[in-house]
Amino acid sequence: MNRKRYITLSEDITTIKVEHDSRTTLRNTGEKESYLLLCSGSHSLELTIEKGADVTLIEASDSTPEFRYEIHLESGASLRHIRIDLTDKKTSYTLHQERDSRYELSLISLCGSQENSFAMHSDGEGTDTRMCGFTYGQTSYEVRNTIRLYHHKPHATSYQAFKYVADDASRLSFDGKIIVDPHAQKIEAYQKNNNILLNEKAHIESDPQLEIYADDVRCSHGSTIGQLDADALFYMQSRGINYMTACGILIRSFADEPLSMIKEEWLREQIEDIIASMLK
Amino acid sequence: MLEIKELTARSDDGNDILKGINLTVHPGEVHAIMGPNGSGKSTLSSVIAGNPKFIKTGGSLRFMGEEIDELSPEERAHKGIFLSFQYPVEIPGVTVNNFIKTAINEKRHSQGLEDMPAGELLRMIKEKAALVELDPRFLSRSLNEGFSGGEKKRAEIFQMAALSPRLAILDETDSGLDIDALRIVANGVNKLKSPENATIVITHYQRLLDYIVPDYVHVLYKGRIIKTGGRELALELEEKGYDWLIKDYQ
Ligand SMILES: Nc1ncnc2c1ncn2[C@@H]1O[C@H](COP(=O)(O)OP(=O)(O)O)[C@@H](O)[C@H]1O
Ligand SMILES: [Mg+2]
Repeated sequence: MNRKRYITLSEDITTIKVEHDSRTTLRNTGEKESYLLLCSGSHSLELTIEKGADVTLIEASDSTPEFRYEIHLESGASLRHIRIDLTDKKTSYTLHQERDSRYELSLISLCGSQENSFAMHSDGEGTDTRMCGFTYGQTSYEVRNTIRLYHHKPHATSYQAFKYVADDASRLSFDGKIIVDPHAQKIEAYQKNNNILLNEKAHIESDPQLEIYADDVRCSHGSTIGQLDADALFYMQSRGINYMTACGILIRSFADEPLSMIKEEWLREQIEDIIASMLK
Repeated sequence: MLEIKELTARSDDGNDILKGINLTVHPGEVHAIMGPNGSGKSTLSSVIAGNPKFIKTGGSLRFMGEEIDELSPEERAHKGIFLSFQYPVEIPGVTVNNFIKTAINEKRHSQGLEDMPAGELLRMIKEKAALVELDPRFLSRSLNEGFSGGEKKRAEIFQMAALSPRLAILDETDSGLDIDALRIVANGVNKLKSPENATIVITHYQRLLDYIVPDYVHVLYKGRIIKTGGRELALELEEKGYDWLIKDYQ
């Protein structure tokens, strides 16, 4: 069986190597660009996306076990942030978004224990924040995502969708809170955490929370926990698809939101292959 | 082809649903199974296809001369059983195209064959989509996700066409279809008919049987087949309802 647990990088994307703790500013030079960060030896990065720039940041390497980000999106800037975790890591993210900026995160965790803490600040009107995650926990790995998403300004949107699959004796937890300040009216904020438990020894903790001090907002949150859908499995089997393949299709389907945000096929296909190889 | 004798089955939560079914289907035949809601029609089709939600408690179930009790649903599919679901399942993120490719290739693997060459597969998929007048754009959409009732049923018949089963069981494929969709689905089924394959049409209404003409009509009620007749039985049921038949079984 294929036991690959690493990502091979594409050659035709721009690479930034962060050797030491550093400050980096990304701007557009031409069309949309992808940047790949290789954080060898550094522990932190302050990243500024310039006004109006549209940047994709991909991290799929074994960076240092502890890392701290400070990301600043200037007005109208857009950052698509893709991160694939395959080793033990502890990461903190602080994000500040100016007016009309857009941040989109796809966080994929397929191996190792991780602790991620997010402090996301919408500091300007018209911001959009999207955070999608997929975690496939096996053995005794522990993955914990703690999210504090602050809406400080009105007329902004945010969306969080974290999908967990817990197998073996893995322990996965989601602790997410949306905080809407008193003057931040006309906010639309959604948050969900969906879980599939594949083993009774696995453990899932889910705690989505809302703290709303404004009155004219649309917010919702929720979490679900269940097993692979028996009806869907039978449906696929009845078409001649083997049980194991059917389980893989369902897990792939469950992970569709975070995975479909990864438009880079060379990357998405590798992730899909790893997921398929994890089934047992 | 299909031989069912004194078949009894219960749901996994302990309800006896099928209480002694006898049914024999030969190649080339079309059988209609009718009966009021809750009679056990979907359960019967589920048990034939091997749904683990139901437990066979007695009788025999043979397909192509072999007991199939111990076979998994996918093994039954590989032998040529196809079930079109009353409620097809939505599978986000998996396109119709990829789904059918996977199904076809897994069947080939079970026969010791390699994947179907991509070009051949593409041609075949296009041809079968045309047969059920399925807009090719549907092929690149997520399976059943956001499909209307009629589109789901058309996608089911498309899959049936692509898998060319020996025995197709259509569970209320007509429910929720307008007359045009009904005609298209029925046309698809009729075009796939051959002396080697057979069809079981489960339906509530005689309407579908104007398009797919059955050789036999069975009435299933409370887990038993209480009457079998020819095509005219369906017309009689349409006219008189079920009451005259089921009154002795209350
Ligand atoms: N999974 C199940 N568990 C328990 N009872 C079931 C299950 N599925 C169906 N039933 C019951 O079995 C009977 C037959 O259902 P079904 O086969 O769906 O009938 P039909 O298709 O003829 O309408 C009904 O009384 C229904 O409530
Ligand atoms: Mg039914």
